[in-house]
Formats: sequence, C-alpha cells, structure tokens
Amino acid sequence: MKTALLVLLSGASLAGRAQSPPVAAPLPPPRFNVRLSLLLPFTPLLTVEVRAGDLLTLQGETNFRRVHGLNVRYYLRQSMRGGFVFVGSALVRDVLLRADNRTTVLPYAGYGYAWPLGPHWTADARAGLGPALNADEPRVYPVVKIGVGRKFQ
Amino acid sequence: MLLLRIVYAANVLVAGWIGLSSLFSPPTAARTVFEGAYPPTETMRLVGCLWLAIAVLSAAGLVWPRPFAAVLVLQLVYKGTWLLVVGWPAVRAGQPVPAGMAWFFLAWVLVLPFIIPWRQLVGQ
Repeated sequence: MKTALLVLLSGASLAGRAQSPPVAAPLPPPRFNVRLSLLLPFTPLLTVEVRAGDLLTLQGETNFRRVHGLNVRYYLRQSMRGGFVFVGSALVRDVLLRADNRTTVLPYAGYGYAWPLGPHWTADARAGLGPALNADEPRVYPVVKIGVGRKFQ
Repeated sequence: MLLLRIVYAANVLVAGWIGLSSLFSPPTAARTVFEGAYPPTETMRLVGCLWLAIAVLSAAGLVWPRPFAAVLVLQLVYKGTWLLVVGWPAVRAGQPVPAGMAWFFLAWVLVLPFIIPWRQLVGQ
C-alpha cells in the first residue's frame, strides 16, 4: 500500500511538472539601443549605442546641427546596465566656444549609470569632464547628459 | 510611479544645473542657459533660487513621489505662463529668445499634465 502511494505521489509530481508553464527564457543582452538624450542645460541629442563586446559599447550622438559625439563605454558589471566609464570626443560648433563659430574638438571622459526600465526600455545619466582644445578660451568643461530610450535584442 | 521618478530625476539635474549657474554665476547663465538672449543681471540670481528650490523638492520627490507632485504643478504653471506671455510673443516679434530653454519648457508643459497624479493631489 505504501509503495502504491509512493508511486502515485511521484507520478502526480511528475505530471505536475509536465503541466507547469514553461519558464520564460531570459532575454539575450541587447544589441543596441536608441535614446533621446539631453546635454545639459538644453541640447537634445539622438543617441545610438551599439554593443561591441561583452561589456563594451560604441555610442554616437548628434543633434543634427552643431553637436556631434562619438564615445566608447565600458560597463563595469553587466552589458548595457549599471555603472560604466566612458571616453569620447565631441565636435561642437558654438559661438560661445569660438567667436568665429568654427568647430571645437572636445575630448572627455567620465562615469555614468544605466537603469533598466522594464525589459525593453532604459534610462541613463552620465557626467564627464573635458578640455575644449581649440576654443577661444581653452577651459575644461563639464559634460552632463541624461537619456531615455529603447533597447533592441 | 516610474515616470514620475524619471521626471523628478530630470528636474534634479536640469533645474539643479541651471539653478546653480544662475545663482552663483549670472554671466555663465546668460551665455549657456539664456543663450545670450538676456544680459546677466542680479535678477537671474533670484530665478536661480527658484530653480534650485525646484531641484531640491524634486530630489525629495524621488523618495516620496506623490506628496511632492505639487512642485510639478508649479513647473507646469510657470513654464506655461512664460511660454504664453514671454516666449511666444517674442518669437512673433522677432526678438531674441533662448531657444533651447523654450523648447525644453514646451516639452515639459506637454508632458507634465499626463504625469502629475491629479487625483491624489486634489484628494489630499
């Protein structure tokens, strides 16, 4: 009787396992994301970030007029989420930097953080410093950006 | 709640940035925030105090989103008023306007009505 009960219980357990809904496979790391960013104080940018390695991404951004940038990010723990360090360079055309309104080269480096917003969305904030190499006043400028966008697997 | 927190975080950074520069360095604010449309004056420091207050209250909003949502109503009213009374007439008259600030104000005025938890605010 005991044996029969054991067989019955183990069978029921197996049947239950067979009928349980399949566990959703974890999403693969995103291949790229597209974000709407804001360079403080008021310069909107379209940002595209592409995965170039396990923790490495390449990122380009532009406002299609006078600010364009390219940089490399290294995520410290996980791809496209959590803390990251970055280096990059921007081409900026602004009379505040050069009176003749010619393009200024602004290399920079800094730290940022990316937050996942659900499975498909992301937000980030990043702060860096860099010298405006050929500006009228060659000073070091802060570069602070925030952004929200969508990830694509 | 997540959208509210994103708006508060943006407020902390943007209002904090322009508040500090307006309060402590009106010439810098005149160049970067107001894009040369207005000369640097002591009045900018008053505006800097207001923006800094918004940043501080928004930082509290990150922790307690709903109780501090009134700061978003304040933003909706003052930005909307500026756009209607100052920005739009200046654009029509061909006078200088800080374009970046105006576009940011417009975006915020369009987004905030859908983010503000009106029922909780009115019910409290």
